[in-house]
Amino acid sequence: VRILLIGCGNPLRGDDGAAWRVVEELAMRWGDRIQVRLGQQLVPEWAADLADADVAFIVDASAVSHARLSRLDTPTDTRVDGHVFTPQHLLALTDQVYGRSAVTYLVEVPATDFNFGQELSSATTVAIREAVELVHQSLVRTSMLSSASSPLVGSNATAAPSTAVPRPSAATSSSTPSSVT
Amino acid sequence: MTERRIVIDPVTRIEGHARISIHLDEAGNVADARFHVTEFRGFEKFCEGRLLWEMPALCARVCGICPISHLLASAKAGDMILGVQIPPAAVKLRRLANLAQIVQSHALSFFHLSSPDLLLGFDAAPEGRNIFALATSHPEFARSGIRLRAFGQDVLAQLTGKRIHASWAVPGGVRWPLNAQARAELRSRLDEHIAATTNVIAAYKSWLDRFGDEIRSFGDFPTCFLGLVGPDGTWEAYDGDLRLIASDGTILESAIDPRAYDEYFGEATESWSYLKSPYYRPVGYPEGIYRVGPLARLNIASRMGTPLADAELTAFRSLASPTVSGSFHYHYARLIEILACLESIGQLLDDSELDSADCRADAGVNRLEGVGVSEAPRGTLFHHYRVNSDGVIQQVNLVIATGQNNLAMQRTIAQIAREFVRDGAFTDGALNRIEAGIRAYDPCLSCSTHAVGAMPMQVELLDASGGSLDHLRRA
Repeated sequence: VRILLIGCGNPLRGDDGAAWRVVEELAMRWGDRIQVRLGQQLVPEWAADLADADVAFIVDASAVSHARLSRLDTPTDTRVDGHVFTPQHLLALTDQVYGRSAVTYLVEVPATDFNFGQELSSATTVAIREAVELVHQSLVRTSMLSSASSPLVGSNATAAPSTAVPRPSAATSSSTPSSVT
Repeated sequence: MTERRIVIDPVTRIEGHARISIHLDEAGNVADARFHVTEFRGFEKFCEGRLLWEMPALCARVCGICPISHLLASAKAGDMILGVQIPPAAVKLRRLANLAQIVQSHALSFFHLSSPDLLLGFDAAPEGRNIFALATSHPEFARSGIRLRAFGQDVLAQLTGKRIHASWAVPGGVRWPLNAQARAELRSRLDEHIAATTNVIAAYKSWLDRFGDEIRSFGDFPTCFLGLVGPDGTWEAYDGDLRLIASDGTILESAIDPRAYDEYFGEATESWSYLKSPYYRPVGYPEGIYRVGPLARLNIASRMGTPLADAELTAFRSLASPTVSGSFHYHYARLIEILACLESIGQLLDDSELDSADCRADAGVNRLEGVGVSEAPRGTLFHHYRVNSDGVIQQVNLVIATGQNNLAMQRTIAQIAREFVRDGAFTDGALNRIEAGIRAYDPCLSCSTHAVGAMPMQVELLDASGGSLDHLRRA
């Protein structure tokens, strides 16, 4: 299974850099079994990575109370407004350009302090650990499913089958975020 | 007398924040047009007191689209202050970085920002004239653009360690070379992009017949053109001679000494914009208008220096003689430059000297003043520093490519407005053409983000006292 982790935020603006910490921690745990992209904002060229992956996690700081992970469905409305390119936009662009995209999850990390600096608020520091565990457990499940249906890919994610994981229909996909409380 | 004014705020699908106002006379005809840059950065002031060696990394933060331009111009100013000739490997590595940046920046401009106008039509509804609509209607084209920009970004990431805001170039050279494995990996991907770019250029040429009105009105007027050329007049992006030509092709200045740039170019300011208006001093302001960037570079060069791009330059020259004066053709020039950059990147990636660890010269402060010049994607860029004997910055002046196109952009929007705004009435398509006229220059207003699609735009018709007569708003 080809797994992509995208971390989005500005690590020089306090809690906005939470996603970088989450992705870097997971990259240490999972090594080259996952592909990592980090940036200050989402960019269109990541559509190619999203199309090549089977499962993707987009991690971002958010005004939520707890770390949470929720399935993203491709939006039907792709209007853009201002300097905003959302995870939904990236998913829509990927589907439109490549005709497919990874099963994508949004991981939201609570954030409150966006002042200049690399320090994180205490709440976000705790939430980062929660987010890491959420994604880690999800990755474990993904790997177990993969090994049950086919020989385990092992440590080389690029050797995974080239077909995408079938996208569940909107009716079967979870719209309820899972969370750590 | 009642003067009326149309305001386009903000201008969309450009890098940065700007506003356009169009002044109408009593009869409702266009009297004047202004391009207002409404953001202020202040780098020239807050860099004072910093050390020379910090400047490349600091100045890379001027922009998120063309940080390499500022990194290189700053490092070159530092080279001059150190009084060093940097190692040959460092020259090649810096050149490679600049070419890769031009590829990714031009790809952004053409595929992401301007092609919705070209492929979906200037009169298409704004909500259907963005990269998403393009991805639906022309997925292969959109894919080429995404992959091309990603390639340029990947070259930069491999070379400088970061896709944006690297601190890799320093006074005296660069921090590290490019290893053979990375060179081979990047080299293996090049042919796909050369083929895709060649195909897009062929397609673009077939579209030109559709845009007769736009070609005629999008900034088609005589100006001088400025840029770097190699020793034999070959297209150049990193180093070389500063050449200025007149609209009739006459070489006015063949090799301006960068240290004397302010003897040749004045910098006028206007109360209604933060963007300076450089001009050619011997002619004066504002008559000393000149253009920089892809169109200028192709007009001043005798050849591109790579086979496929040279063939395309011949075709480009057939558009007009002795110079191509229409700013609409910035798009065409941009595509030819992408091709030239890709071919040149291939040549550089085959060069084993890129592996050399001898890529940085060490020295202390040997001069108290330095000027670095390089070609940013949008045109010639100057960084001018004065330091004390400890290397502490005393004075900074940055002459940005977009500023040097400011006078031309002003004149362009007036020309478009006169063509498409009639009797005080304007349509959405007319407004978009005015924006697109600016977009052709791919102005970079020193912002670290850019709009992917249509931003909210408000157009107001105001009387002389500021009262609103009419307005149009895009959501």
